[in-house]
Order: sequence, then structure tokens, then C-alpha cells
Amino acid sequence: MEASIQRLRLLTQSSATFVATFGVLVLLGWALESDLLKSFYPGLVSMNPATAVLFILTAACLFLHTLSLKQRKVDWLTPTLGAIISGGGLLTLIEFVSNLQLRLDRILFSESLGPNRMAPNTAFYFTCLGVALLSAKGRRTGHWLGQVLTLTVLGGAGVSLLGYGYGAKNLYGVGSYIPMALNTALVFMVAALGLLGVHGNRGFLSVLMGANSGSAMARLLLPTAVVAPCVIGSLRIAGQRAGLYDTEFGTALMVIATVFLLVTAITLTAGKLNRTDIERSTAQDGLQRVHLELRSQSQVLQSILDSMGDGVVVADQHGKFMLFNPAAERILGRGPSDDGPEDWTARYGCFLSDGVTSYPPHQLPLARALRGENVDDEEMFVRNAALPNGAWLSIAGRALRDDNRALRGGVVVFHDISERKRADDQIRKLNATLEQQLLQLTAANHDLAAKNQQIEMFRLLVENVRGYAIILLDPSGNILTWNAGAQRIKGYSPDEIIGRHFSVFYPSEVVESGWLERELETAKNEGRFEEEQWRVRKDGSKFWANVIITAVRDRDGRLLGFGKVTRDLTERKQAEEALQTANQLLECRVVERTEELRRAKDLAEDASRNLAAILQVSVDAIITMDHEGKIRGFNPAAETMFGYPVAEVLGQPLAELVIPPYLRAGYSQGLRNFLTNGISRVLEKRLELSAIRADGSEFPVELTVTKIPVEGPPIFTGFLRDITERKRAEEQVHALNAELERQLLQLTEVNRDLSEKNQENEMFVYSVSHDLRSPLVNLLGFSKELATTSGNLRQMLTESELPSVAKDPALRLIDQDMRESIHFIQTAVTRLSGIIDALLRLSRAGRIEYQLATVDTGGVVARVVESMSGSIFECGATIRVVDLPNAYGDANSVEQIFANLIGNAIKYSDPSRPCEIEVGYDPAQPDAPANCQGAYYVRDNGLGIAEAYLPKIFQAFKRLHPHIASGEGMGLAIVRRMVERLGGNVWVKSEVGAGSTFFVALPFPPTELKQPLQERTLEHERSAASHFVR
Amino acid sequence: MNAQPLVILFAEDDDGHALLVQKNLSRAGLTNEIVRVKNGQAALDFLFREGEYAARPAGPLLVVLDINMPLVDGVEALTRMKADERTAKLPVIMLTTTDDPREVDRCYKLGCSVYITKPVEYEQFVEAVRRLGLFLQIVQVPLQNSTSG
Repeated sequence: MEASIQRLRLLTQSSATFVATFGVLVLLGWALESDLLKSFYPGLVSMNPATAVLFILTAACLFLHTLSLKQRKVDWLTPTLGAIISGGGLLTLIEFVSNLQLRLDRILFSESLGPNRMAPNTAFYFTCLGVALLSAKGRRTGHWLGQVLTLTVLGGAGVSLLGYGYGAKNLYGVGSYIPMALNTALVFMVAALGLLGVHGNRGFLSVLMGANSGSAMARLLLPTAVVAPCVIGSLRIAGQRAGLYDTEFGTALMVIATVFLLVTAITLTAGKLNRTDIERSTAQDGLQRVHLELRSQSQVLQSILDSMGDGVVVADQHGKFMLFNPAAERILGRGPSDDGPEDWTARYGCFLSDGVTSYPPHQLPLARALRGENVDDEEMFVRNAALPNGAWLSIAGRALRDDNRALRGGVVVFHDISERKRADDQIRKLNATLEQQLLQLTAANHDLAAKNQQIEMFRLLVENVRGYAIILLDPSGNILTWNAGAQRIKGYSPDEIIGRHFSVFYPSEVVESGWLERELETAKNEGRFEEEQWRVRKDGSKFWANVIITAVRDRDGRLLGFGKVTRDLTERKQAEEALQTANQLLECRVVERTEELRRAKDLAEDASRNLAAILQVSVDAIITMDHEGKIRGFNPAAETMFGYPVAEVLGQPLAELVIPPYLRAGYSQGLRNFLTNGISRVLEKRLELSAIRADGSEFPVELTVTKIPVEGPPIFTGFLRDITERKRAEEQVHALNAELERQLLQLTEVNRDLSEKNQENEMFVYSVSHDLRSPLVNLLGFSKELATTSGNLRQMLTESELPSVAKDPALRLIDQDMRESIHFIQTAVTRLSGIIDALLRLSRAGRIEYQLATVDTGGVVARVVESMSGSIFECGATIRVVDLPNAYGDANSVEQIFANLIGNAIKYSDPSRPCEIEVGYDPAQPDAPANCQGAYYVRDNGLGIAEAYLPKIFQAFKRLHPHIASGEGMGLAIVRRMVERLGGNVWVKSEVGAGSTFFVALPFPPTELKQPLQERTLEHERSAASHFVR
Repeated sequence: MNAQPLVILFAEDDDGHALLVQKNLSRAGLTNEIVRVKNGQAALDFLFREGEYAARPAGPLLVVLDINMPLVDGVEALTRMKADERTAKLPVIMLTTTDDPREVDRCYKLGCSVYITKPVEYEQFVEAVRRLGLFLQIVQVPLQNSTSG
């Protein structure tokens, strides 16, 4: 196009030069009186000088038209020149038809002009030419007018030239007027051609210069059509003039020649056009094919982009979005925008993987891809107005480069991994719950173990009691258990006696009398049997025994056997030793049990760590398949997943490559069904199937199949995700759950066993303690009766009138011997009663149901101090209570714990200095267990505890200072039992002569936060009135 | 005092315990008739006028029950008493060696009026008997000096 414009400009410029040259030559001719210059051919009419001038102006005007607007400098010159030319022509024309005598054509060279004038047709053509020049670059109408006028001039000039050639004056002259000069006609023709060039490719010239076959034909035929008749015509005239033939023959010859030439030209042209057409249509077919192929390919691509689950976003190197597939819009909640990369973070609400920090815009995966970086497995959190809950994305990014490796943009592919995150969370929560359950059960177990421990302790106590022979008999009287007391009193060792009948303890005559059967019968019917009678030791010696036989029954009242207690009042103390042994034994068992539970917990933790492996997620494999089941597309992820290079699989049947043999039949059936009736059970659904790799191994995949909406036979796209890891993780979770369930069952089983044992033992404790106490009540009551009676006796004696010889010794007996005996009996009985009570309390401390709640420890301690204010006052103690945080436990137990500790601090104060006690809380106590965060403490400045005794003070019946205060040695044992049942810990630090500090760590309330501790001192003024002592 | 005097029905299998209670009640000045039985079944027989007690005279009653007794224990006797409308409203004192809070709780839930643990603080026991008997008739002699028994 550019070239043809260039050519046209050259044409116009050449014609302008030609016209100007002729104009100047003619004017020169007029000046030099040269006919050759004036008329081009001597003897012919000369060109009028005015005509020459108008031609020069025409040339100038043409030349100006070839210049660009800028080059022209002035805009008015071209139209002015056009107006002058047409005006000149018009005025001259008017002279011919009116009386107007301007004689413009006679102004120049008027003296030598003679009769020469501008011909009327010349004037007409100038008018046309001027108007055409005026409108050459005008709009549509003007342009068409210009073309018509130009062609008129061209045609007219051609006719005039032909007239000169054939000597037909009528063709170049009008009536009697002077004809147009030959050179004038020639110059008109050239000028008209130049003017056509000015019109550019529009109109007539576009027909000639077009690239299409019509223009080609015009270019080939027009010269023939114009030139051939002219030449033939002139040859005919020349031949006729030479007398070679007459008019008829000449005409026929001319027609034949013309027809021949035209036919030849047309045939040649048609042939050429046909060839061109064939070439063109071949090329067009090719183009069409390429086009269709491109279209189908882009449809496939578009469809994949539209239907794939992953979001795809492409941007050019300036950050302008080129592609933004529907999944991307769905995942991000927002579509593309014109914002630059620096605004993306704000628009889409991008956050770093912590979920709160805004993503730095220049670090966004797409921004990095645009800089030429590769981004893989980047995690991002997206939340915006359209995505109020936010979503987790996994993103991969690549730079896009052209063939020269120059950056052309970037692409990111991402998918929503929120579900996976949620699944992970759930697994974590599930684990936490299971762990919690395990902990609870462990605690319950611990509790039961503790209970059992007490029972066990009691049983051991019974076994080791030396003052009483306590044994169990089966229903027929065979000995089942044997304690130390029995051994001591009766002399048999357990090996010798267990399994034998209890008749060995009776003198043979008693046995023969059937008394034993009666004893058991009575115990069975009335619950118990009691007697005091002679019994036989192993060595045959007899001793006086108090025997109680109690029937032992289970809850349904079935007789299990008998408990037999034989009393021995002398050697009670050895029971304490027995208890210590029992404690040590039990502590060993606790350690074993704890170790066992810890191992179970470790196992659970290992399994939970394995779960973290679930996180691996591979990018989807995408496989495209046609209706024949042949693979059409196979992306790199598919190559990796299946182990086939893409080149090997294209065109291969999908079934034989990736579908396991046992699924192929179903697959083929499904495909056939779909192709015949359009019904499919798999399309657009998420399926879990098996697939096989190149090496034949089978693995689970998640598959979604989409039909691509292209015309013609359907194409399917499958998105596959390798879910081997997920499956494995699921199986692990199942296995873990099963394992945990098994453990739970086991623990429950153990728990049930323990509680059954516990109940059995409790029954035993209950009946034994009752029977131990029953005789005690009599001892206590009747010793009091004895005291009362002796008082009465004494009064009677005093009031009697017996002589003092008899009265005084009797009174002495009453005042000394009797009183002493009664005193010893009462002291011993009171002590025995205390021990039994303490044993019951200890056993109960492990059994009472705790009401767990937030405990206002400060309030509890204040109450304890208040209730003890009597004894506090008595010993002149000062108690300081620092602000105490709340604890989580049983309020009664917490109160008892502090009452015991504070009571001890008062009891064991050092008489050499004023007693000072501080109750406080140490939030950073390093020895506190993890669940307690700190420890309460009760600090005194009392006697202190020697290091050798520290390990023993929490054991039952241990008393360090028996001479200082009364008690059963049970207080700290009970404190420890209660603290441990509450899930805490108690320990002591002490120094002899400086004082002791008892620490109690209790669990914090679940919701309580640490509060600033404020110091508060409770000074108990010494002048305060004494309070009732509890 | 035109109505019949209150009778105390005392079920206790231990003779020593029974003797101590009787002695202390009379020492505290209560002279009401005390009917002592040795087990729960006998107590129920008395209450419902069965067996050897079929002909006992009617009159206001205060019941004192030991828990651990042969045949029918105290708790069982209490349960049956409270289940029968003839005896449901009688005041009952439970008297036993057990101070297990669960046992105490159980007895109070079954409807006993007072629960007293052995060894008995007799002042407390006498006080309880007096209070329960206040609406009934308690035959009380004026307190004499302690020697008069």
C-alpha cells in the first residue's frame, strides 16, 4: 500500500514536471517565435500562451498536492490555484457563448498572437481540471466529482489526440472555433493522469491498482482495449490511404484484428487469473485449516481453563491481567482488575501463612513470576469482602518467556487447600480429645489405684497386726488368710496353717462336742458370734482368747466365709512397722503403674507425629481423552504421576495405560453408554479409584472427569490427584484410633477390675472396723460405769460407820489401785478408739466423692484461721496470710488440708521464740508439677524436721514429736492423700531449729488468670478474747 | 397426764451396749419403759404387734435402732417402718458404731430423726430422746442427786 502510494506520488510529480515543461516550452516558443515549441509539430495549431500559463499553474497545483500538509506550509495556495485555473477556463468559455470580451487568452504575446485563441474545449477542460484540482482531496462527493471531471478531461484529451492521429478535425475542434492544439491535448492527458494520481487509491485508480483479481484483469486488459483499437484503426487508415484495400475490407480487417487481439488478451488474462485463483484458494484452504485448528485448540484450552479446579491467572510483563479463569475468580472471590501488582494484596486480601500479616506486594507469587522467578508450593491466606471466611491457597508460579527467552509475563496456578487445612485441624483436635480422654482415664486409674492402695494398705495392716489374730475362713471353716498376729498368738506360720480347718485352735474335747459347727451356724444366722474361751497354740499351750467370728457376705447376701478376730491386747505397737512396710510396697506399685501409663502415652504421641506426614499434596494430573478413549493431552504432572513421557502416550488408548485391568470393562461400558445416550454416572463427580503407573504399580487417585463442550465428538478431561498419601494417612488415623480405642478398653477393663476389688475390700474394711469397735464401746462404757460405781462405793464407805481400821485400807484400794486400773483401761481404750477412727478417716479420705469447682483459697484459709483463733491465741502465734489465688478442687478437702498444715505449725512451734506462721503463694515454685503453675505454702519458725525423717513424715502413724502434742500420726498422711486426689502435690522443706515450709501445689481453675498478689496481714492481737476452740 | 406414757423400743444385739444405754437413760432421769429387743425382726414384730408381741398395749413409741444386728438389721427395719403408714411417723434414733457419712446420709434419707455414733455421748443422746419425746409424753422424774440412779 505504502509502495503504491509512493508510485502514485511519483506519477503525479512526473506528470506535473511534464506539464510544467510543456507550458514553459510553449511560452518560450511564443517568445522566440518558434513554431516547433509552440505547436510541437510544425503546421499545426499552436498552444495559446494563456493555456500554457494555466498548464504551469496546473503543474504547480499538482505538485503541491503531492506534498504533505506540513511541507506545503500554506493551506490556501492549492485551492486558490485550482480556483484560478477553473476560473480562467470558465471565463474563456463564457466568452464563446456570450458577448463578454475579456480576452484573457490574448493578454500575453498579443502582438504576435495572430488569430490564435484558447479553444472552447480547452477552456472547458480547464474548468473541469480546476474543479477537479479543487476537490481532489475533498470528501466523498467532492472526490467523486473530481474523479468524473478528471476522467472527462482524460477522455476528451484522448479523443482530441485520436482526432489528430486520424486527421479527424471534428474530434479536436468545436465547430468553427480554433481547435485544440496537439500539444495541449497531450498535456491535458498527462495532467489528467497526474490528477488521478492525486486521488490516490480511491475511485477509478483503486480499480486498477487493487490486489484482487478484478484489478489484475483490468491492468492486463485495459491497455489492450485502449491501444489495440487505436493502432489497428490507424493501420487500417494507413492501408486504405495507401490503396491496399477498400473501406469495407478495411473495416472487416479491423474488426477481425480487434476481435482476435481482444480474444487473445482475454484468454491469456483468464488463464492467468485462473492460476492465481487456484494458488489463492490453495493458500486459503491452508489458512482455513490453520484457523480451525487454532480455534479448536483454543477451545480445548479455554475449556480446560474454565473447568479445571485450579485457579489460573496470567499477567503480562506490565502486570496487566491477560487471563483469569473462573476457578481463579471463585477461589479468590474476585475477578481481574486493572490495578497494578502493588494493589493486588489490598484487592484480593492476601496474607502470609500466619493468616494476619499482609502479603508484601512485591513478594506475591505472581509479582515474583513477573520478575522471572519460579515459585513452588507457596502458601497464602486470602480473605476479602467476597470471602469473609477466607481461604488457604497453595500457589505455584512461573515466568512466561517468548522464543528469545525475553520475559513476557507470568502465570500462577493455585488451588484451595482450606479443606486440607481444616482436615489437619480436625485431626489435631481429635488427637487432643483422645489424649484428653487418655489423660482423664489415666487420672481415673490413678484414683482407683490410690483407692486400691489404701485398701491394700488396710489389708496389709490387718495381715501385720500383731495384737489381733485376724483371719478369714471359708464357709466350711478352712483357713484362707493368716496375719502376723495370728502367727504370734497361735505360733503357726502361714505355710503351715493356710488351708487347714480352724478346729486345730480348739481343745479336742470342744471339737468333739460339735461346738465349732454351732459357732459358725450362729455367725451365719446372726451375723456374728462372740465368746471368750480357752484356745490351743501350736505348741499345745492354752491361752484365753476373745474371739469374734463374723459372717462375710457379698452384696447379694451370699456367704463368702467368715472373719475371725482373736484379741490380744499387748503388742499393738508392732502394727506401725507393718504399716510402713505396706507403704513402701505400695509406693513401688505406684511407680510401676505410672511407668506403664507413661509408655502408653508415648505410644499415642508417636502415632500423632506420624499424622503430620499427611500434608504432602501433589499437583493434579490432567489428561485429555477423545471419544475413542485415546489420550489427547498429558500434562507434566501426569507424566510424573504415571511415569510415561507425554510423547509415548499421545494417541494411545487411555484404558490400557492407566486403568487397572479389573476396572476396564466398567470404564468401556460407561464410555459407550455416554456416547449412545449421553448418560454418565461419572461426569463432574469426585471419584476415588485406582490407577496404574508405567511400572505396573497401582495407586489410589481422586478423579474428576469433565466433558469439554466442543463441537463434534466429545472430548473429556480428567483431573487426577494422587491420594496415596491421604489414604495412608487415613489408614494411619484408623489404626491410631483403633489403638487408642483398644487402650481405652483396656483401661476401662482395668478400672472395672479395680473398682470391683475396691468394693470387695471396702466391705471387708467396713465389717472389720465395726467389729473392732463394737467391743470397744463396751470397754469404754463399762470402764466409765466402773469409775462411777467406785465413786459410789467410796461415798458409801465414807458415810458408813465402819471402824477406820477396816475403812482406811478399803478407801486406799478404791483411791489408788482401782483408780489406777480404771485410768489405764480408759487410756488404752481411748487410744485404741483413736487409732480405729483414724484408720477409718484415712480409708475414707480416699473414698469421699469430690465436688470439683473453683475454690476461693483465700476465703478457705481465712475460715481456717478464724476457727483456730483460740489455739492461735493460746500459743501467742502470729499468722500472716498473703493474698492467695483460687485453686481448682474440692472446697472441703482444701479446708482440711490447710487446717492440718496450720494446726501442725501451731502444734510444733518452738517454745523458745514467738511462733510466726505465713500462708502464701509462690507462683514460680520450681518443684510444682506442670498442671499447677505454682504452690501454696505454710511456713513456720517451729521445731523443724530432721533430714532423716523428711521422707517419712507423710506416712501414716509417723509422729516425730509424740511428746509435744497428741494425735494419731495421720494428719499429713491424710493431707497427702487429699492433695494427690485433687491432682496436686505436697512436699516440705525444713531445717531443725529454724522451721518448716510445707508446699501444696493444686491445679489452677481452667479459666483463672494469674492475678497480682496483694499482701494482706492478719494480726491476731493477743488481747483478743478467746474463741471457742474447735 | 391422762394419756399413756411413751415407751422406748430399743433394738440392740450387744447386751453390753444395751445395758450402758439403759443405765445412762435412767441416770439422766428418764423413767420411761424401755422395751429391749435383740434384733430388727423382733423390733418389727413389736411395732406391728406380731408374734410374741401380738398382745402388747397401744401407746406412743420412740424407736432406737442399732444398725448392725442379726436377722434384720437396723437400716432394713427403718426402711420397713417408714414404708408402713402405721409406723411411718414414729420418731427413730439410729445408734451405731459406724460414722461413715454415706451410711449417715442413707439413714437420714430413709427418714430417721437423729443419728448417733457409738461410743455414745450420753448427754447428746438423752437430749435427742427428750426432744423427740417432747410432743409425746415423757415420764420424767425431777432430777435428784446422781447417786439415786
